[in-house]
Amino acid sequence: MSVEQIFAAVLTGGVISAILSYLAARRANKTTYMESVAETLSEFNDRLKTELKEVRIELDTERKRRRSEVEDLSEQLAAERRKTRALEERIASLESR
Amino acid sequence: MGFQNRMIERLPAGVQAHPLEASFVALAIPSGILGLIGVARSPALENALPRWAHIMWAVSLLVGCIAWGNGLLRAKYVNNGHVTIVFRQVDSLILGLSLVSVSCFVYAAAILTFAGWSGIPVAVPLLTFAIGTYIRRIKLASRAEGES
Repeated sequence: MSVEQIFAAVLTGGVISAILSYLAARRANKTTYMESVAETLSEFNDRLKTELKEVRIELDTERKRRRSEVEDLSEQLAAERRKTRALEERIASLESR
Repeated sequence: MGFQNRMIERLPAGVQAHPLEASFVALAIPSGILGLIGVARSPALENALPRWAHIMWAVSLLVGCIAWGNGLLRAKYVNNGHVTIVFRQVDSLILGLSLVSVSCFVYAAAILTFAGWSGIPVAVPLLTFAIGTYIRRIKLASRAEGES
């Protein structure tokens, strides 16, 4: 093999490998990468505080949602019980005639 | 310093986070274009590669730089701050870094083969770029994940 052919083979192999890596990354859906670029401890601290605040907000929202769900269910249950009681009273009054 | 910081903060997030990478992309694009149109001629590459491979080398370098630059330019800061950056086109970065790495490696090898010791001042930086871009590509490929 001549020197030209060796270089051409290396280049072609490298290009094919690059294209295959690209296709593999797309197929595996590996398209996102996060980096922290905080350069000082105080920036890092601020980032953690921001993230903590966001997590607390999400937690509060979720708690409110669940509380309102529980209240709705309690109301539904109470309404069902009232209906049942009304029906039982009606049945009792019909039976007593 | 305030004015300089304000000017820098107008740059895209990826360029602010990785200015040396952006510099390399900007540095190599003219080489790719001039090599493709035949204005810039490298004796080492002309000796090392047949004509079709020489064109492929120039295309590889140009496409690699464009893909790499695309990945850098599409990065965004998240969480309303300037402390976390998300690269959303990691596949483009992987393609770009791989192509630039192989182009630099082939060029460095060609220079060392045909210019000998006198080619070392040019070949060694190219070889280090080839290794550096390859390491970055491996890191990205292993750590990247899908969109959440």
